[in-house]
Amino acid sequence: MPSIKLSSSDGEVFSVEVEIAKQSNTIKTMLEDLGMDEEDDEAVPLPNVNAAILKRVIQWCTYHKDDPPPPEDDENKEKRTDDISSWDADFLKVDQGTLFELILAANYLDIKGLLDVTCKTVANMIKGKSPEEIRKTFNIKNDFTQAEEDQVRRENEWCEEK
Amino acid sequence: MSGVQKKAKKPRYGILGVKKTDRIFFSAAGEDWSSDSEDDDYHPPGEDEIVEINTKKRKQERRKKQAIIKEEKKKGKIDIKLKQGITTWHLLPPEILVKILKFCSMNEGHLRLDVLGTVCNDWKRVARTESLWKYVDLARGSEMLNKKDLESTSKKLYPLMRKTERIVLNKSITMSQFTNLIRNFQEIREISFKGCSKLKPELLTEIAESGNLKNLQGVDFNGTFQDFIGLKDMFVFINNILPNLTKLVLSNNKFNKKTITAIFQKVASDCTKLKIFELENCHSSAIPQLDYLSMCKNCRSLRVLNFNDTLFHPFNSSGNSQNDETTYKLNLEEFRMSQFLHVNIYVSPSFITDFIGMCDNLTLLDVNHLRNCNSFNFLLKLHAQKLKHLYLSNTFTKNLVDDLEMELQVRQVFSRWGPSLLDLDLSKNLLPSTVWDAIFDSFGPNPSLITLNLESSNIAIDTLDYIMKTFHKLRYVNISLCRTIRERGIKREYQAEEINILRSKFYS
Repeated sequence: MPSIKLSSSDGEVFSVEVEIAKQSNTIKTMLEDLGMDEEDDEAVPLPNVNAAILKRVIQWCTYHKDDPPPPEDDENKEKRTDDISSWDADFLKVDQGTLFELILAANYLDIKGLLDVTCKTVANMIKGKSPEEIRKTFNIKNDFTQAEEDQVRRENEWCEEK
Repeated sequence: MSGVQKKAKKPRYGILGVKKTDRIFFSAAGEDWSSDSEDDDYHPPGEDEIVEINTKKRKQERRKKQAIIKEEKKKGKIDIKLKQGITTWHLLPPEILVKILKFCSMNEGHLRLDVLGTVCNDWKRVARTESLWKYVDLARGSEMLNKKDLESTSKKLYPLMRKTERIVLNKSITMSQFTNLIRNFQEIREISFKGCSKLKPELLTEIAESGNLKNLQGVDFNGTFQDFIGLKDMFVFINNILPNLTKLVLSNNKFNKKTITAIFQKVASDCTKLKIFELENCHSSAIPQLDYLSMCKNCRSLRVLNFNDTLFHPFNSSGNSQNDETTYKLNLEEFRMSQFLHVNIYVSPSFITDFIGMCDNLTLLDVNHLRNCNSFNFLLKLHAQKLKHLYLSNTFTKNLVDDLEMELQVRQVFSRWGPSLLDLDLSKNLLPSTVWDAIFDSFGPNPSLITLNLESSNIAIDTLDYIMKTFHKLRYVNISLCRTIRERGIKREYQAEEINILRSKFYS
């Protein structure tokens, strides 16, 4: 099995099978367009992903290496968010900081399957929560001015809990 | 930690050449709208008028945020925060927030996006992104709002739907609001008016005459109209819109006889694109005629046909018999013709075989309460190879053929479909015990059946014993009101894990 080396932002080097690494479109494009190949001993630098997260991303890609390519968006009309496999659900039982970094890594490395499942997880966390609960859960600051706030409240009176 | 930071400070070479210190801002800067992205969700803000207005403001805010974060980072605050699990979600790149909110809208409908827009300014902007409003569902969650709020919220959201392709409306929409809404539409392809009871049949003419609905391919009028639909209301629709449709749902409406006859004529002669045609529980002032052979001939795309509880009189205009295979093009996957509410004297087992006999790919057959059915013979004549859902409640009622013949029939039927069947409804049937045994015996090893309805049937406890020990994938069993089961306390519905309670009774 040919493999390549990936170097995390904090300098740790991981050796990964090419087929597994190619689930990342970013890496795939780099390998194809820029003529990097297995013989190259040089590690591919991934300056936006730290070792802890990269390790998890590789773990995810290894488990999903035989998956069919994810369908294009908008094609299947009945998209679901409750179709997270139990392995993925376990994999994503992490603290919010890690989940947040996984999303950023999946986005940067362009791994659609991982980005989908992490975003779905966040959407499921939002489900049924009031705006105030959401702010609390995700540590989001309410940045509406008092006037905006009043207007929003008038517009959305129904969604506030009595 | 300090070691990590030291290493990271080394400048990076290579194509991506982004320094570690930029890491947290890379995506937050959000300017990296990759144009070659495969994902349609990612729309450059420039393309999006609503977002565009705010781009300037956002940039300023982002700069401000970045400054704050930089400062905090210097002090080492960010890393501490990340460790504690408190994150900086407001730094998410907008295209990711779009993706998350898209999943939220799929979970909870688009009325919910209005609520999520009150979380903070970022969310408010992103909730209005055009790509989130391509397939819109205003019905989900609508039951949680009172009349007034539902109307005002829906009204507030309509302006976002200029590029909408598919929309599910809710019951608050009025005729004049819809007239305004059509003017907005540019790319609409499918509209659901399900339960929009404030609309009148004149709507049909309005749709047919609107220049903005030229690309309409699917409409759902399930239970929309309270009034009888006259031919006058539907004439232009039938002639101009109907031939282009791939989906037409007219269930739960009332028609004048002329209207329904005109619909049937058009569908049977001129609707080669129609894929889904649902006409469940429709009343007409007199029973209309359906030229089913020309329907077979012309409805080449039809896959789903639903005539549940709708009366019609099938007739054959050409005089050809069903044996003339060349005339058949019907290739249904789902066919429903339950007659629970009415007695349709015109529909017999032989009509079923005439009409859908040649459908090789049929997966669903619903003929609950079929009249004049004395054997399983008509099922033998169907070409369907891999039926998954079979509904035969109260079907075998009169003058049943003799036990032995019926046993042979069911053995053939269920040895063919047994391996593929997932749902089976045989409730309200009284069959000889040898036939019951033969049915379940024919499924073969390891049947995939998931739901089994035997309510009010005369299934014997011994047959049930065999079922519970052989059909391991069952997740629903209904044996309520089974007269022949004398054991007390077990005659009821069993779902999911409860099946094991029933199963254990047979192993003890």
